[in-house]
Amino acid sequence: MQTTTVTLSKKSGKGITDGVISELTAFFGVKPGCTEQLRQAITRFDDMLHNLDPKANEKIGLRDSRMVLFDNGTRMLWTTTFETDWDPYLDDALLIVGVQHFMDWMKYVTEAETLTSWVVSAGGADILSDTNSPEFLEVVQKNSSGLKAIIQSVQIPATGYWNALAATTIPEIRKAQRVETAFQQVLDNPEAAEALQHPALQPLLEEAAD
Amino acid sequence: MTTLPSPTLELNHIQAGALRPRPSPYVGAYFLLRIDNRQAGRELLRRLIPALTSAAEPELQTWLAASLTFQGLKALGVPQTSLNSFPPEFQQGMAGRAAELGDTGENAPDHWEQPLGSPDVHVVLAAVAPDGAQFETVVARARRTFSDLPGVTLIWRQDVASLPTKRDPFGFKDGIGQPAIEGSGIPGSNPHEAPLKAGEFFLGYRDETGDMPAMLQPEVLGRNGTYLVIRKLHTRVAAFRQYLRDRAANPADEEILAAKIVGRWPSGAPLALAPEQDNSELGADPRRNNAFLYADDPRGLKCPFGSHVRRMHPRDSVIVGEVRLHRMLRRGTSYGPPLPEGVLEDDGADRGIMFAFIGAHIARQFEFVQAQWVNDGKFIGAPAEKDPLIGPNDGNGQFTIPQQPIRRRMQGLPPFVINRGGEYCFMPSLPALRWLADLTT
Repeated sequence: MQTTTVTLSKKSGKGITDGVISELTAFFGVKPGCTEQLRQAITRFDDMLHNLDPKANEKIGLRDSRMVLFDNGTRMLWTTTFETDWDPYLDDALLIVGVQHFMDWMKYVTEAETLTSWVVSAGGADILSDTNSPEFLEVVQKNSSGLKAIIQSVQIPATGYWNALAATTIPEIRKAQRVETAFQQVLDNPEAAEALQHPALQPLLEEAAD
Repeated sequence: MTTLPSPTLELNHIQAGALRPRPSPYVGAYFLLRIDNRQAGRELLRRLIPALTSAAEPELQTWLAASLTFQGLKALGVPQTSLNSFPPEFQQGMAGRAAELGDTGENAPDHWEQPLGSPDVHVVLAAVAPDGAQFETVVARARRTFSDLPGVTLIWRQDVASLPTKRDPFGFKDGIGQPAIEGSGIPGSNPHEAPLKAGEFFLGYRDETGDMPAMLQPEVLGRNGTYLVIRKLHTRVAAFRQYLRDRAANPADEEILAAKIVGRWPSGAPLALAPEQDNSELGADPRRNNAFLYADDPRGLKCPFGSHVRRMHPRDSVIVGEVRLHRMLRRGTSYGPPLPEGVLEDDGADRGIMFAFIGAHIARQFEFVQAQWVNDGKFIGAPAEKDPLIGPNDGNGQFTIPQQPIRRRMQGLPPFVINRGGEYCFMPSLPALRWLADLTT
C-alpha cells in the first residue's frame, strides 16, 4: 500500500500551559474557491463535538475548540485547549475522534495538499467525497502520521494564555458539581441545620447560608 | 484448548530477547560495551550473530540479545542518512531527554551511575537463563564475542536475578501482565484484551494508529527491529515499609495500604478481582491473575485510579488517552540482595529493578507513560498526584484511596524509586545486524 512522505518540518506541537491546560493555536490556508465548503465542514466538525459522548471527550481531554475563517475566507484559525499536554495526546485524539472527522475539513486547507493528492491517487477523486467510506478511512488511517505532522507544522505556541479554571480538571469540576448537588439535597432536608452542628462538618455549615 | 493463529511476524528475523518473555525464576546480566574502532565493532557483530537466537525458537528460556545506542551506531560508522532516519528522542538518548522524563534532582543524569548516560555506551548485551548453570553458559557465549577483541571494551556489567521470594524488591510478584501481539503466536496474559498490532512493537508493520512506525533507512536496518529502553531503578524498600508502618493502624492495614499503592497484593492477585484480601491461588494462576478489566470499578473502590498498576495500564478505565497507543512490553528484572522481612532500616545495599521496555515508539509508549501517567495525575483528574510507588514524589506527595464511607488520603509520600541511569537502545533484527556488520564505511 502506498505511503506518502509528508515533507513538513519535524517539530513538536507544544503550546504553552496555564495550570493543567495546554493550548493549541494553528493557522491554515484555505484552498482557493473552497471557503464555503470549509465553512460547512467546520459546522459538521462542531456538531460532532457537541454530540460527542462525554466519556469519549474525557478520553481526549478537550476543553474547547474554536475555528475562525478570516482574511476574506482565505485563512482559518483553529484554537483548542486540552487538559493535558496537547502534543503527546494528538495520536490519541485522532484515533478517538476519528481521522475522517479531521479529513472532512482538512481536505479544504492548503497544508493538506500533499495528503489529499495522495488520497486521490490511491483511490481516485471519488474517495474524498465520502469521508465515511471504508476505503477513505483505510487510506487516511495508513497515513495518520501525516495528519499529525500537518497540524504540528502550522501550530504556533501562544505568546500569552490565561484560563480562569486552569487549576481544575474536568473530573474535578464534575465531582464538585456532584458534591454541590448532594449538598443542596442535604440543605433541603428539614434536619440539615441540626445535622451540620457536628464540629467535623463546620466547613459545610459555613457554606450553607447561601 | 484455544488454537492460536499461526505467526505472521517474521519470527526468524526478530531477536528472541525482543519477543520471548523472560523465564521465571531467572538469572541474567547486562553488559555495556564501548566500541573504540569501527572495524572492531563490526567484528563484534559478526561474532554476535551466531550467538544470538531468533524468536522462532519455541519454548526458549535462555537467550542473549544485542542492542545499540545512537552513539554506538555512530561508532560503527553507520552512514549519516541512516543515522538521521532514527527518531529524535533515540538520537538524544535518555540523558538528553531528562526534562521530558522528569529526571531531575536525585534522578538527574548528573547523579547517574557511570557510565550510564555517557556517550561511551555503545552496545548493550542482555543475557538471561532459568538457572545458574545455563546462565554461565550464555555468559561464556557472550564473553567470547568481545573478551579478546581489541577495540571493544566492557565498561559496565549489572547482574540480575529473581529474589528467593520470587518477588520484586518491594515484595510483590512482578512480570505478570504482557500484551498479546498480532502475528506473534504468543498469547497475552489478559483474554479481555485484543491483541495489539505488531507495529506497536516492531518496525515494518502497521501499528494501532493504522500507520507504520517511522521506517529507518535502509529498510533492512529497521524491519523487525525494535527499541529497548533500560533504566536502573534503585528501590528504597526500607523507606516504603516505614511509610506504611507509620500510617497503618496495624499489620493487616499495612498490607492493605501496600496493595492499594501497587494495585495488586504481594501474591500478584489483582485488587480488581480480590478487593478485600490477598488470594495466593489467584496470584499464582497465570490464566486468571491478569484476566480483568476496570469497567465495574468506575470509582476506584476496588483498585484506586492512582495505583501503580492501574496507571501503567488503565485498560478500559475512562482516562485521558487511548490505552492501546501506550502499551509496553516490559522485561523488568531485580538486582541486589533482598532486604530481610521486617527490617525497616536501610542497610545501604544497592537493590532495585532493571526496568526494560520493548516497543516501536519510544516517545508514544515509554516516554508518554513515564511523563503523563507516572509523573502526573491530570489524566485521571488528579493533577496533584503522581504514581505512589515509582513516581518522583518529593515528600509532599498525595495518594487518594477511594473507600466507603470516607475516602482515605495518604500524604507526605516520599520517592521510593530513584533512577540511577539508563539508555535508549535499538535492537536490530538479525538481518540488520548482518547489514551493520558488513558496513564498509
